[in-house]
Amino acid sequence: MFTRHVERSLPRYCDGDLSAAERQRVDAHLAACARCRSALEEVQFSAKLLEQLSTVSAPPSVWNGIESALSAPGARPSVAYGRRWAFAGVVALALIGGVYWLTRGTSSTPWEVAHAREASTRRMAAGEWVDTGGGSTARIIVGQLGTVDVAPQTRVRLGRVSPSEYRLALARGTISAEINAPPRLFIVDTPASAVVDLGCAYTVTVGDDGAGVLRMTKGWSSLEWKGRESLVPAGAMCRTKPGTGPGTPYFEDASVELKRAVDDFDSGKDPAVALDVIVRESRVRDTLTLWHLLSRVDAPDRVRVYERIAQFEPPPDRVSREQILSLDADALRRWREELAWKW
Amino acid sequence: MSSRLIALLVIAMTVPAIAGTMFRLEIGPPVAAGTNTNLKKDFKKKVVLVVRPLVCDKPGAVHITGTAEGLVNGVRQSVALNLVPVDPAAGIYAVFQEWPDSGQWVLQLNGTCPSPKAAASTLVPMKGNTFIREKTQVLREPATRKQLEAALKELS
Repeated sequence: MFTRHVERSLPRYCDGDLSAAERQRVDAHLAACARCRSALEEVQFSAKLLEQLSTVSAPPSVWNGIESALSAPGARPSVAYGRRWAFAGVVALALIGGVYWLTRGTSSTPWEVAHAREASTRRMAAGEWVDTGGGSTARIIVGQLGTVDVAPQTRVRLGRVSPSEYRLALARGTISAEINAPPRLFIVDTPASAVVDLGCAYTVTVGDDGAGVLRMTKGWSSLEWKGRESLVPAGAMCRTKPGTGPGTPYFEDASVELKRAVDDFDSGKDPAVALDVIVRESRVRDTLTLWHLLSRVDAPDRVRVYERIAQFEPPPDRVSREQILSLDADALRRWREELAWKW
Repeated sequence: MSSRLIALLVIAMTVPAIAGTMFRLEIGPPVAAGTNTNLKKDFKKKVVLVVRPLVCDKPGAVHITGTAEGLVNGVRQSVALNLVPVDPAAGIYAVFQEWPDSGQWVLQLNGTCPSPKAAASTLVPMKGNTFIREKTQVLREPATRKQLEAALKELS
């Protein structure tokens, strides 16, 4: 029946590059073809992950070097130039060899997955999907590091495995991870941010719109997106949205008013009023929320947030008010480490 | 001897004594050890809290020990804890789970400060491998047997 699947048209379909007639044909096919719908989901998910990548500009010295090389009189291939290419080739070969040496022990099916409906576990490769249905669950064994339980109605893509990184991607649904590993070894990508394990247990849920919620039960993790970072310790939670990344974390035992105000602040719904409520409702433990707000509010509001935190715990020795208000990274870190004793 | 000199002598003698009674052990979640701490894999395993001394001239010289005191199926148990140094100069140590999952447990952390000379305890009731902060008792003297048993009884 489906002799002409539409997988090859899906990237252009997502970008809106198809003609009206082609689009109509793809729509009609997708309505009846589960395989192509699944492929569409993968294309959309990959596109969301790509949106997380930040653009890095080359330093001016690189451009200057290129320009001066191009404008140099009589610049043409020479013996020295040829030797340079030969040297580059040797370096490239050495790098390829190094990568091969590092990954030679890695299996082509490094993941071990147990589905609740199956009696045994099976090996799966990077790039494969774990897809649980309505009443089904699964467990992913993360090498020697721990386990990830996959709830019903969840899609997880198994990512690459290397000595320095174990990576999963959660497209939608809920997973619960329990990991005993050095920091930053286990990472879960979601459409809105990456959950970077810092030694912990947590649950993360992603909805159909790509928005997610991270709840920490043990240890702590960070949510990261384009340089924006939220630290989430045990007992706290944090929302994350595509396009804006991680929101402001708060403890789940905070007052209802504070939690609602944080959600309002993050979604831009009357942030001035929301900030008033957060400052008023905060307890010593809520310095977690206030500390994150320091770098997310305008300068006048930053003073209010600073003063509220300082009422609970003044900055440590050799950290000044001016450093904090100017968002000095080292001073902020040192104050956070002091505040964390109260979290 | 003038009255002013006597007052100064009294202050000089009382300040260390007061400071001694201020000495205590503070606990915090693992994140309090700092994000830049180079933690070993084994240490990360089941770390439940970190502990540090407060109001001691030489925090690095503070001696901290601990036991997990438990009640499992009505039987009283005691497990010695191996505290792992995180930042020895600041006297920060990590406590990781060395007691069974079953039963009720209270951690008794004891510290002694050489200058000003003082001793203190902190009693930390546990719920699974999570400490209960609101029931934690930061004492400015060594915990008595009675205080420990009362903390344990409150959990059961």
